Amino acid sequence: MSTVETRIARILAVGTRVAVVLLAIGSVLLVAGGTSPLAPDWPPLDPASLPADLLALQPAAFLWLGLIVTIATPILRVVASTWSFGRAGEPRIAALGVAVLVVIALAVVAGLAAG
Amino acid sequence: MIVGQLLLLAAGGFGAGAFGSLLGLGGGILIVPLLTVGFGVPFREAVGISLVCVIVTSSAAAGVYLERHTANLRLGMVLEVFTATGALLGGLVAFALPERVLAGLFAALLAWTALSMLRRGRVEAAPAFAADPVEESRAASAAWGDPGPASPSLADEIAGPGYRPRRMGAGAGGSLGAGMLSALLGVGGGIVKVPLMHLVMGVPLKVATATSNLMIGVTAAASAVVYLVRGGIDPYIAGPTAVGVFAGALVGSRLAARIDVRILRLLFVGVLALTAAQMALRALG
Repeated sequence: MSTVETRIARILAVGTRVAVVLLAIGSVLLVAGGTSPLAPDWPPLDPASLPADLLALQPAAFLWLGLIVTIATPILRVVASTWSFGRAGEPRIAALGVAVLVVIALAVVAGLAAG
Repeated sequence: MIVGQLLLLAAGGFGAGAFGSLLGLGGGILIVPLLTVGFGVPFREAVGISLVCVIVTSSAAAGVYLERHTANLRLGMVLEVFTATGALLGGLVAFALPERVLAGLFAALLAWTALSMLRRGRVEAAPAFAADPVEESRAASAAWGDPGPASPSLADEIAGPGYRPRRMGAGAGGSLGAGMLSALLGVGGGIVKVPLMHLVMGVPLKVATATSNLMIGVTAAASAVVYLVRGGIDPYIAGPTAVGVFAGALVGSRLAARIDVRILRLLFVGVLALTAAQMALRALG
């Protein structure tokens, strides 16, 4: 297997497992604290308070972090692929990776602007 | 009661992950109906949660496909520009469309998936010949009017052993549509991407399936970002459902070699048809 594919396969495997573990911890803490997973309201995502909430074992913090890691994993895969193809002398494929990252950045901006 | 709700969500996710894995579908086609019909979750929230689950299964499976050399990473990166753009547009449009319209679109997708699975079942029931994947992809491509080799350059760069993708323009357009479908309905979009790559672009079926799976994560991530930033993902429901989907997909992939999926597929077509009817009723109010 080529180095690029080895690295990407590892990123995907580790990212998925970390995300699932965080989501599982958050789910267990949620019911242990007596909150229904079907509760109509949930705490909004607040990146600034995430570290403190994690230390305080707040279930929503683990769930939000798990969701962020889930979404970030394939994005990290694109970053790693882009970097690897750039270094391997395949500028066109690397440029396409950059284009994907730009689209994702636009999605964040568009979501913030519309939200 | 609360523990029961958690277990039900996880079990539903497990079933969706296992069935999806056994039948070669992403879990999204099952998770949205499970959450909307089974748990009364609003359609748009169900789509946001389904996108998260789709990323989990895609990331888990894509690593394996890369290790086995079945996914074409370069081809995936080319088409991802278009699926991600479609997903960004779809993610924005999804918040502007009435939920009834989305439910109607989903009902149509379910009906189409059920018909595709029935057709696939008939093909697999026919005597199997030891097909050469390269010849098979050439034959499939020729059925669409083979235009001959594409202009040298990018197609050469993304070519795999024994095949060279064709009709890059059609591939780009179809990928844009697949991305929009994924963002609007919370599915992986493999039902569009696999035939697109195989029949239109002449990529061998095995490679098309693996590459589609690899692309699903990035496609879903582009729209999931929009849902996440706009507060469209319920973390309380997403957590146990995604964990269940992950476990189900693992078990399903291990059972796939031991189970005769033909009967399972027929049962599943029935479930899809019933769910399509329920979604259609919801769309009609």
